[in-house]
Amino acid sequence: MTSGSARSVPPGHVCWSYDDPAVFDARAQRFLLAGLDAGERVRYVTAEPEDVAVARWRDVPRLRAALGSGAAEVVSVRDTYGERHVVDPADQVATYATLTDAALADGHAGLRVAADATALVVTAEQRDAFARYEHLVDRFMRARPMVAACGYDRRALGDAAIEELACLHPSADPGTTLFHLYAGADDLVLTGELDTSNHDVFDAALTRAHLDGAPGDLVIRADGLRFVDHRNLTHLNRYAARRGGTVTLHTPLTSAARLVELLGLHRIRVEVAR
Amino acid sequence: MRTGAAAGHSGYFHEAVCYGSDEELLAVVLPFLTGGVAAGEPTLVAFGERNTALVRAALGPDSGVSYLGGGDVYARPTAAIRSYRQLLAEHVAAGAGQIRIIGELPPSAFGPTWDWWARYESAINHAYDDFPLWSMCAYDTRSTPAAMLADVLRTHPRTATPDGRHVPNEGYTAPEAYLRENRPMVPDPLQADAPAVELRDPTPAQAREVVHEAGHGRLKADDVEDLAVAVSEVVTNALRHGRPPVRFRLWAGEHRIVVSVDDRGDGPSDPYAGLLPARGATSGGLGLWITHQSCNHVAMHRGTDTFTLRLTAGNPHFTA
Repeated sequence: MTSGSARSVPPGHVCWSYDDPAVFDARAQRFLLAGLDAGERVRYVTAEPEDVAVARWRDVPRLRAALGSGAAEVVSVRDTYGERHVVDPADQVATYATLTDAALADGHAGLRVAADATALVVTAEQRDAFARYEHLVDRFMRARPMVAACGYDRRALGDAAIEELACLHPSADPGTTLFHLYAGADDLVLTGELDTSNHDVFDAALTRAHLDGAPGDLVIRADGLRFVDHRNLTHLNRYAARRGGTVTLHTPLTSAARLVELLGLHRIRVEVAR
Repeated sequence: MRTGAAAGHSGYFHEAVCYGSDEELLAVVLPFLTGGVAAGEPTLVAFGERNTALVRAALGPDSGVSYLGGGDVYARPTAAIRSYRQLLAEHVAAGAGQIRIIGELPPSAFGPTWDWWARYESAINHAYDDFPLWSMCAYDTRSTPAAMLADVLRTHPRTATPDGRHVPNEGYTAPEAYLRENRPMVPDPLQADAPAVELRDPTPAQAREVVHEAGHGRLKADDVEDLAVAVSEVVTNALRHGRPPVRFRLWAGEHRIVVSVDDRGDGPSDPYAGLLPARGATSGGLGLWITHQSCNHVAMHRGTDTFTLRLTAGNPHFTA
């Protein structure tokens, strides 16, 4: 099985899925230690009680020192949000904007976050809100010195729920999603493969990546799009109609242009560039 | 208002012309065309180069007849239906009371891809019935094999004869029945060997990957992409609407790739599947319609417990 994950993408925003919390914890430690090396302030958002995670971190001298100096922070997702919390996407991004500014003000190069967000995406309502936040914060990270790894527990969520979230990251663990839709220099970047197995996920992702602002032409950079079928192009056309505008799809796929013509999808303009 | 032999008929008036000489062809074609022009009807010729020249020479310049490039119109049956329906709708919108068209299939149709052209000839009895169309399909009895001429008489309700008659074809079979029959699926010589790739219950993504690997450097990139589109739809349909196991096989030749996908199901229930866009969005018929416009040949076959779809990209006109 291939996935868009292997493509070179900005390292800013990655999605991990795990079955073993110890594996996630070890991965998060490596990720955050790299942040300390780069002079960033690091923040670990854990599913465990805060004191349990902190106690384990104190075993690593580098992390113990960083906790002491304020270069590292550990927070428990449950202590912070409680159970079944539905995030407010804009508030959540504002919080990270404040934290990023504070890190810079304190002399750090930026903010690096490893977060186990499982508890925030258990219900469909939670997931919908959090997915919108994932896109908003992705856009924020394109512009500001914050990077993040989002971890999701496969045992608690299942593959389908993780796919909904993984696809909104520029990169994700292999097998979690066949496509990625994320913020770009133009409006959106689309990579990977879109077929019958994920067309409903793509439809939801489009809605969740909804861009405010004037309707009109939405530009999707799809240079890394390797396949798109009629179902997904139809979703894209309907999405353009809901926005009251058009979509320009930049892609190497000439088949996309032929399908658009065949199906009379008047709101999509395919610009083929090989 | 309808004129000529189609006067009083509503919908599509579909005739075959089976001719054995230029004289016989012109004896049918010339009155058909001049009658259309005289009645002020859009009158079109979709012949290949040779017969276009023949008709042009007989009619002279400024005859009022329009000539369509036959070769382009008849590249793929489903695309022909789509472009003809669009053309007919435009003429009706412009006020035409009847449209007259005479056409012929290109020589390449009378080979391994005949089955989908036979299906075309049958399906258009329904597909063009929304329009006041009188059309004739010309077949040269000197070059058309007998089995194919038999299909012609079963798919055309009438035959126009050189002596001016319009004779009902006794063997005419309504498309709903004809299209449910198996057409002979001539084995591609490549299929005599073991397939280059065989997959069982593949995901559409796995099947597409195999197509890209086989097609790279062998076919034009656009053709590989279109085959991937078709394979994705066919595998999806087999997994969704068929019965397992789904078997995917691929053969690669010098100028073509052949993919066969079979399952234990009954295939599509809609007799027009592939030739017309499906009316029900969930039936998988839209995918099959796209498949028919993404490949240079699609053949279907129902066995006792197997439904098989075979797709050909590149040049499907092998000589067995």
